[in-house]
Amino acid sequence: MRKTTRYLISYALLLVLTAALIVTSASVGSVAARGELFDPIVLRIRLPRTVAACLLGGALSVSGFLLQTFFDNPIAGPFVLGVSSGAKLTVALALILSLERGLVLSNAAMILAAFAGAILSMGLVLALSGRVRRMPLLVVCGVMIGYLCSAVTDFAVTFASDANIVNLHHWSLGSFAGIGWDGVRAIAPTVAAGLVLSFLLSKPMEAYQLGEAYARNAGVNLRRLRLELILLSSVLSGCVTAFAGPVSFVGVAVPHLLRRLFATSRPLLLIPACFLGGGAFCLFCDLIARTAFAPTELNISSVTAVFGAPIVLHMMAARGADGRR
Amino acid sequence: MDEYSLRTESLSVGYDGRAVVGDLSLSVRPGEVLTLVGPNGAGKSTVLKTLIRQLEPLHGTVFVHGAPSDTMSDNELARALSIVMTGHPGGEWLTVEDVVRSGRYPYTGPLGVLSARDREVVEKSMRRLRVAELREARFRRLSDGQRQRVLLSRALCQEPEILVMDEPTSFLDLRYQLELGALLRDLASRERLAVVLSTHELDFARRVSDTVACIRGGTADRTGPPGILTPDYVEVLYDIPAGTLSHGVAREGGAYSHSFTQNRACEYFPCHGGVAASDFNCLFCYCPLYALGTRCGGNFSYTAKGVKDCSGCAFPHRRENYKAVLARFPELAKLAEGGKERGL
Repeated sequence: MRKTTRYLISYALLLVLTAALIVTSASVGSVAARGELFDPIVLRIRLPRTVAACLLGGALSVSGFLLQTFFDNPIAGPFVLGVSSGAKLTVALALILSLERGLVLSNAAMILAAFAGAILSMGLVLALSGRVRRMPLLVVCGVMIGYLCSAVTDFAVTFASDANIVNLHHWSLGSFAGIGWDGVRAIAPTVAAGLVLSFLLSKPMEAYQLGEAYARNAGVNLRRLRLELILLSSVLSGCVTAFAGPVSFVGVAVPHLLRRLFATSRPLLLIPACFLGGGAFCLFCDLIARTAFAPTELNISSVTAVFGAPIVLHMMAARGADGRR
Repeated sequence: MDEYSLRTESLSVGYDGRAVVGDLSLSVRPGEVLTLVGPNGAGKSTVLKTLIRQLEPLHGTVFVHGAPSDTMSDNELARALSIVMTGHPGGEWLTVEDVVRSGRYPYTGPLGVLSARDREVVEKSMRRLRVAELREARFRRLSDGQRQRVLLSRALCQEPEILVMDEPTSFLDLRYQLELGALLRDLASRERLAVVLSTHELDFARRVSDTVACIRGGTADRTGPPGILTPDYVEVLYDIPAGTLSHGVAREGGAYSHSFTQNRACEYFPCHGGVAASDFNCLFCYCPLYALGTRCGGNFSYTAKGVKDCSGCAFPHRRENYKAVLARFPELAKLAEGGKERGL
């Protein structure tokens, strides 16, 4: 069957791309890591960063795919809807509060704080979506929520007293730098759980893609599915924000590219693909971020925006030309 | 086991505690077609939504094979009842096969992977509705007639005993309506499906139904065989001045006898050139060439409700154009013959 061949080739492509980027990412850098430097630089700095970028990129892209299914709209994504910024705000507040008391926040606490923020801003978006039925308006609302949260975060960061806040400023712009093995140890189980649970929702999600009436007729418990989608996408995007700050456009651009590559939007095929694709995309962007103007690092969000935004714009233009929603 | 596939008992339906239609006692047996007719806003869709359990009844019960539907699990109901609604799924990448396959949902395992038997049912329902050649086509790019067939195929794939369709005649021209009518009759009798549908097309209702329920004034005003839709009663049902309607029959050499309704009181009778779209409704003033669909020679559009709007017709059946219109009658006769051959 032609379709199966297409899927196999697409998966093979994604796997090769991801593997190649992992190897490149671990071996390329501003310092030549040979001999005795190999261990501290490659194994302790580059490798955990590479693994984290791959896992978090995948998480972000799957989170976007879940939200797109939820809103039945490919423009939806954690960054666009302000969910990432909500998570950023709560993480920043949690960090500042704990630092001022001289405490160090554990990774689990960071993820929890990010999840709370993601759920809060998601709740706000959902409350608005009850009033604002049209998706473009909802996106505008999401962007505004995003700005609001970013502004409050900036205030908090600016007026926070501790000198450690300097790191916070760097984090709030988005970066995979500084994630060590202990970070990966917190990221991996969270992302893995989110990914597996999302994959297990493939069946109801597929039915949901036909619209509410048909999904319900097929026997889908809509209320439960919606709740699961929101919780999972919040966990996944919250986890990303907790460790790398807000990362833009990955959640929209990667699922879009993969839908084109696979020529389908079936969750069963696309959830694993989104994970691989998101990982590859973030590895690539992270590579650019740290090598383009080495030794100066760029914000990861700036790089993902440079590559992601044109894809999203192209997608919207194509949809407009199609004359449909 | 109940002899009725679907039955309601003093059912009252509506939104937010306010009843739209009350005291409904409907029933449909396997192999029967029940049609809801009535003016816009009478509550036909609300009734259907309640029947398929997407809206809670305000009062009364819906019985599916004698069991109150609110005691059934989602999966049980999904295996018993399937739907074709007016809103169409619009996902960009959705193919015909994706849509049809989704009907297997109640039967597949936790990941929704199809078994050999599932695939067989999908194939069978696609062939049954002649959409198997379209399997790779994107659903969004199909014509309205094709979409309807795909959605029906999805509904069949669910192997239901009851099929509920909301306004299946919307956006279909007369040719497709004839086809759909024949198909529904065939499904009802051969698959022993109980069909419940709503429509604005009274001729369609007459052709396809065993029972017609006329929803008017917040209740089922009349329920009975399609014969109850007399011109006099249709005037009452749709609140039209008495004596407006009468039955007309177009004949050409006895071959063609498609019945249509004429609005003799229309100020533009027997033609309707220049009438504002809001006054005009083909339901009450059929053009004799209506049956030719897109080949009628005039130009027309469909309103949002799916009603054919001929108000700007370039080939009206006006007195001065009668000759040209009459010249097209042999085509109608041919169409009717063709219809007979296809078993319509």
